[in-house]
Amino acid sequence: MNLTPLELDCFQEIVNMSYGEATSIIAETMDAFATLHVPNIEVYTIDKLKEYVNLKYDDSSQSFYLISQMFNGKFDGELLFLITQDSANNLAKYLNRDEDLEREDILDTVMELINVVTSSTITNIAKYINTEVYTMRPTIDEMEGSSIITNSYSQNYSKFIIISTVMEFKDQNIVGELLILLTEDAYVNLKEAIGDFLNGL
Amino acid sequence: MKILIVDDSMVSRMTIKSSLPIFISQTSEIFEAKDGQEGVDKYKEISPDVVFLDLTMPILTGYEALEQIIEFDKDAKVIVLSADSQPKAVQRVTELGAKWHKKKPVTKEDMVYIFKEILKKEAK
Repeated sequence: MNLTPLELDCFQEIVNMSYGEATSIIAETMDAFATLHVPNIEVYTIDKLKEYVNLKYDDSSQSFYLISQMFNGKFDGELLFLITQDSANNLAKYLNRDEDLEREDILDTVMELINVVTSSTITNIAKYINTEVYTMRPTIDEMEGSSIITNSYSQNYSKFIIISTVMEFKDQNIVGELLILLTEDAYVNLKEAIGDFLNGL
Repeated sequence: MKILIVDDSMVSRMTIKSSLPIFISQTSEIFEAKDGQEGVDKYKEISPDVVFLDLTMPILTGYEALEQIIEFDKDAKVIVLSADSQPKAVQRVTELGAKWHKKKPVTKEDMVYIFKEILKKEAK
């Protein structure tokens, strides 16, 4: 049961609005102007997750950070935010005004900031589809290639949604990717909510 | 009245159209464009009375399209509808010549307010 092109367009607009609000919060927090780029959205079945991450990250010469955060409610699942080490370092340095940073400082800074992005994005998506989510505390890990993919993802979830994001703070190009893993029930609820929204137009 | 809606999302264009006050939608011609460049070209072709413009679009962004529209017609009535509501974004579009900036999603109440203001200004 896939989203139709119109439903996908609708969901993309919901994500755009949600991500825009997240960007505004970040910009206010950091007292900086962030440029928001149009997210590119794709939906796949969970069995393609390993293949996708392999293709995208396995031959990368650098490691990256994975921030994961579960969310509960009628719309439940898990958020994975992938950010390369270079982007994470740029972000942490920018936020800490170029001071020399220990690895732990970088991890803390990146996790705190990405937590704002992920929590705000998913809370707003839930709001637009007329439900509520409760986000859990995120965790951050340094990863290489497809080592992030564990069997628990394919056991717990049925679909994943790729939201490719770019945030620019002044001259810093911070590139990250948000993956939303959804249970089958959450996906069905999402499709229904989008259908209701479109019927109301 | 001619109304031009410039937004890359079909759903967003549908939402804007469905939010128009009845007294406007029943008496207006509504045109659409799917990106900033198409929006500028369409503006030059039809000279609309009001433009609803998104900011994050492919080919030409809303900022670039706004700049070109104002360069072509300094009195253009452009209303920016965007998810980006950062004060600096609002300031930038205002400086470029937009009449209003409204945060998405736009509501029927927003639209009634916008058109009342437009009609009020036209009556002066």
